[in-house]
Amino acid sequence: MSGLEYARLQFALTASMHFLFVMLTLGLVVLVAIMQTRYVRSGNPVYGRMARFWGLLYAINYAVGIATGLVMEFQIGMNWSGLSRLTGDVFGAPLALETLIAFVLESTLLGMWIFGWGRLNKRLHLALIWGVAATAMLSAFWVMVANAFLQHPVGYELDAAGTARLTSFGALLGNGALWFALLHAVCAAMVTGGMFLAGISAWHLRKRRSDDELFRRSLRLGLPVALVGLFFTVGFGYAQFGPIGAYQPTKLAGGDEAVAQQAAMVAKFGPGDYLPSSAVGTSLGLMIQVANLLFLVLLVAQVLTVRDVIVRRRWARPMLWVLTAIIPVPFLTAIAGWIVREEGRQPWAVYGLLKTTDAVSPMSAGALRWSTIGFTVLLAGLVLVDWWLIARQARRGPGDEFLPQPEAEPQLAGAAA
Amino acid sequence: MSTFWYGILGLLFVLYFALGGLDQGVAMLLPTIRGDADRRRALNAIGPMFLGNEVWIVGAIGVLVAAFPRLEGELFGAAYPVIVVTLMALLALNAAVQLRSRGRRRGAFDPLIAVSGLALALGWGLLLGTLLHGVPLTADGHVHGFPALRDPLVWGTALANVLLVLTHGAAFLTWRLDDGPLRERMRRRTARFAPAAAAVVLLVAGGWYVQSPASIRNPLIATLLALAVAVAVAVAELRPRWVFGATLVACALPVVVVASALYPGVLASTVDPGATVTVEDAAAGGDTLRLLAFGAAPLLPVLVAVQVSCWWLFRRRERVPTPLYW
Repeated sequence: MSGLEYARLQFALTASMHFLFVMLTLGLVVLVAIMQTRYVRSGNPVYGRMARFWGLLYAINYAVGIATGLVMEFQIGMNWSGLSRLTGDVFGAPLALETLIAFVLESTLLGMWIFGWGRLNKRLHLALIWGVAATAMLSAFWVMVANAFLQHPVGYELDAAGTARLTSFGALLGNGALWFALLHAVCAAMVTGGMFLAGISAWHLRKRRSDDELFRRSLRLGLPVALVGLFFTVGFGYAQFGPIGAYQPTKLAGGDEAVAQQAAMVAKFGPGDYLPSSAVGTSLGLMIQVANLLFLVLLVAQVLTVRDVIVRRRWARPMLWVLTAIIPVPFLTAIAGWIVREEGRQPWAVYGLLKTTDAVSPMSAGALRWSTIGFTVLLAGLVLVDWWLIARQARRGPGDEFLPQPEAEPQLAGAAA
Repeated sequence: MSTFWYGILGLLFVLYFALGGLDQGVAMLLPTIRGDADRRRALNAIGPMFLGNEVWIVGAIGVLVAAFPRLEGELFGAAYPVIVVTLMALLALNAAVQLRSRGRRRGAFDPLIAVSGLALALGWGLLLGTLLHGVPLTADGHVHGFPALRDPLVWGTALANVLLVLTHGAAFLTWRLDDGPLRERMRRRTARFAPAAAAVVLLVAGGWYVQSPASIRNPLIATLLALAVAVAVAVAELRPRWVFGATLVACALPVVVVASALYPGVLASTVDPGATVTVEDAAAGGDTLRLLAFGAAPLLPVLVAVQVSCWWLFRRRERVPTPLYW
């Protein structure tokens, strides 16, 4: 394999792994914030236990999400110096805004939220989780601004040295490749979070382990969020066909049109293969089919929650099993979606401006091979351990997570340092 | 405008070296603490601040990408093996600390935590050393090979950073933990590490002064600052709060020392003086910098204020028994 192929493989693996965590983080944090709001407003302790149980799963998921995100940020400089050299001025700005005004805040607030249970004022503590949710959404926004620039570069001018210089920030924010894609991704995250809630709750309701009430309420929150989220995910998915056709004519072209587009690109940019691999079409088809099927399943499950039929009636209970079994589906569909968006951009790193072959660092294939192997082994190990821990905690059910031990409280209230 | 952003970049690295160094120090001390209960106490002492400490490196790299895109590409290329190992340590430390107490065998994560802490302190030290040494940057704008890693002084710089960070971790735990044998051990350790760290810092600074590679343009300022590091870290017999303040400064200063030694250069070439990258060369275009100045700079005080309020809200020293999440 060449250095370029290693660099691409490394980024694809890291980005895919990162997104698996991001999706659940984004969706779940909103749901946890809703639970905690109900807890603070109603004072009903079941909502407090809900917020802590799902919040713990959220925190375990976040641990590896932040780690994979770090690798991605460094990789841009390590392996794609051509990208930062030529378009760093434009592409880097939203990334810097993401890290500084969204991510730094998000992590700081999350640390305070985790360690603030039972120690901070309830309303302040509630504000912290909403702060985490808001900054997480802001992060998603800035990252998609940067990504949209790669899909459809706008708001820049090439200077004498051929470096892209930012000319209009408004154009970056109004990029036609941005908004539908962002809403599509955020809604998909809500589907993921909702189905995660529903699937794990269904497992507990099926096993009749404990905390029936907590899991019934979780199911009743997760399912409608997933269903409505999926409706909009599909809508914003179809809405993207327009911009894609306008900005990236080679992405989904097939048959005669593909031949025509290839000829047009050769005429414009010189010889080369300008059509993406067949994986793009396959992934697109898969994503659409799965989404349609999923919608039907979720709709049936939602109907079955009326008067708790899904729990009470023997004939309806297999649906609980189904809900647990389909927890991975949104994750797999999201990877398919990213293949359409990213693989479909090839051979361009920045569409029509910078080819992937020119974006890669002049690093030896050996260095890239070893770093790819190193990161893949380490990340895959962390991902597996993390998922195993999430599954373990999810099976175990709610406990006294995050709370101070009862005997600690009187001493905690004591003198300050 | 580029100087302003260079200052912001420096500030972010200073915050990371001071606060992230704290995490690394506690991580390195972890295997020396006997018994799971005490290890958990040590980790929970940084608990509320840990994530906030770590994110400064993300902010720093974000600003590097946006405001100094050419520097990022070349710097990471110039120290590729160091960056790869440091980054692996960074993600291992972050994940391991957060996951350790979620499984049944908590201790299984501890060697990983300690090794990551050590690798991080070494790695950032090596990076500072590489900057002081200069890199084989040719006129085509690319770096070829990693000769800095064969210079003992670069490794000496890394050792100095490791010792600073260790002292810092011990000083923090002395300030933060409840009275008891663990705290007393940490106090003694601070007193033992501090002179060693100060001595190595002075030796390494002297070494750089004698060797004086072309990359170092302001040896005098840098030496004075290095002296300040040594003094800051040597004050080990004061009250724990002051000792911690001193190590906080001592861990942050190496960034300032290196930046001021190289200024106005940032990435010095050892093979072609003309190829040396200055702050001005490395910076992004004026429009990008202005946009960042309007979009991000006003929010920096907010970030700092949120972190300060975190330290304030969790200012109480841990008491035993204490809520243990990690």
